[in-house]
Amino acid sequence: MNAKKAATLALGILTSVGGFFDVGNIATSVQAGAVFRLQLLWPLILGTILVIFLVEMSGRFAAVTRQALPDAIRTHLGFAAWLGPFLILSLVHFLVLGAEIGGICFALHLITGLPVPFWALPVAALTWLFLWRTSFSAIENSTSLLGLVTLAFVVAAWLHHPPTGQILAGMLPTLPHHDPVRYWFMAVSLLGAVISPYMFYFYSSGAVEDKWDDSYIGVNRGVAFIGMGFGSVISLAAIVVAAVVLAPRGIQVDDYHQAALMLTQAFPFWGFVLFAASMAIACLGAAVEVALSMAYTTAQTFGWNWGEDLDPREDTRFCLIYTGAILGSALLILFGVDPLKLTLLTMAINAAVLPFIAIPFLLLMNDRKLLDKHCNGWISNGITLLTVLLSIVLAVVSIPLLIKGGS
Amino acid sequence: MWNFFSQGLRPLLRTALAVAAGLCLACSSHSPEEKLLDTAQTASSWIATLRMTGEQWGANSVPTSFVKTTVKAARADLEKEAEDAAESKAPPELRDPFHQMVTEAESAGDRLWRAAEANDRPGVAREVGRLAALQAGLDALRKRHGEGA
Repeated sequence: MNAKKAATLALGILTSVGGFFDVGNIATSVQAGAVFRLQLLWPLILGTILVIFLVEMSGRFAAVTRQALPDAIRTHLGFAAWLGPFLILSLVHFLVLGAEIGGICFALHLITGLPVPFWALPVAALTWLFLWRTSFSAIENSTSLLGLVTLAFVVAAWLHHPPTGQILAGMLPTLPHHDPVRYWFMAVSLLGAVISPYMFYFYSSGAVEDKWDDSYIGVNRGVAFIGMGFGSVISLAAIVVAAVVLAPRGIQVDDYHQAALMLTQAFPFWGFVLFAASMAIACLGAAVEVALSMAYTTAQTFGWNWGEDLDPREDTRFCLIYTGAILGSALLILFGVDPLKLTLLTMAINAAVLPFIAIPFLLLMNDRKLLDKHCNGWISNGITLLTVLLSIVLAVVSIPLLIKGGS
Repeated sequence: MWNFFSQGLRPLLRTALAVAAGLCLACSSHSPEEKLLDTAQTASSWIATLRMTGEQWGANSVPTSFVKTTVKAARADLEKEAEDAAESKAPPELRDPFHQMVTEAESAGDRLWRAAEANDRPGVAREVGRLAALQAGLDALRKRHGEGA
């Protein structure tokens, strides 16, 4: 491996670690730990295994074909076959973007005490400016490197000396000890937060932006396995901290104010600031990625020019999509939608729409004409099939649980 | 591909929707007592939050503005829970003490905020103590009725 690829791998791992954690992970992990202590670590482990394979596949696909996923699905399976999944994906992108913007607004509310809706338009303007003024690599590297502040959760978990036996036991699926409806709703939401469809659509477009070719397959594998693997440790740590700090006090997390207290015992003076900073940076990084992912997907679906590194005059429609998406999602927060409720709703929807997103992906990954020797092997196919089956079960379960558990 | 979506996915979706509808129905039946106990759990969680907020303010770990916004958020939820309790058809031996405790928690939250704003540390510590007693009382009430529900 040459020096450039080694640097790409190292940076890729760092950005995956820093970029893994977003508002969905914060909300679902903290709620799961606060209510079910260490019992819900298994959906996170399962989701991480699945997302590692999905991200690896989307990177491999882009490196071999030099096409991003929506582009390839439209070209090879037809516009009609892609239209349904595209519309569903656009709705999910929009809601996730709203949840991320809500997360940044809440972090600013924590620091300043000003109402959450007050921050909606300034945050939208900041996110938009970030996209308008910077290049793809600047966005990817700056937000994700700053996102390493979320490692505060890992340090806090370590400082609390959590029970190792219970952590290991929580990694195996078990039936709930109490409140089964809420337990399954949270398991669904945790999975939805980890297997966010935007993540692998963004990743494949990013690989095309970075001009990957098949010599990057090893780098891609390293980034997916090591980066995502370590990234999930942050979510795991958030569950552990909530389990040892909030649960024994009887604090469930029905509002982000309750979550904001979780680092204050490990870091008596800085804990509150670290929580707000982690939330703001993680959500800003994710908001930028989701807005870009939405613009990538739309442009690739309709065959428009696209690229974050292009001058806006060369891809006007691409820029208009992320501008409109940011403004529209910010309006949700401006008009008083609760950021936590929006996040939990979005994560359950994420889980429900996975079959629509994963099936076309699976078909492409088995196309020998496209991928030749880089086609999916039995392990990748087995994992993706498991993802599809799991997503169908999740889709069935998440709808009633959304009504019951999310109410 | 189109055939797969139209012929393979539609029956699957129909079955999924039928199962989802069944689960919805199964999830929707709760007695008034169970509903109030669920509400009591949320109230207890908010009381615990106010208590921890007061403790952390006393330890200089959270700013006064956070105490204010947390009390405001807690108050909004506790007010709704007090209304739910007033309208509940749960037995009076559960409903009435619960309603009283939630109302007391609202007042304790307000006093906590005023004490923090006035930088009155003994006042904050006093409210933290009151909130701890309220939480213990509410949990005992939940336990007593939860076992029989």
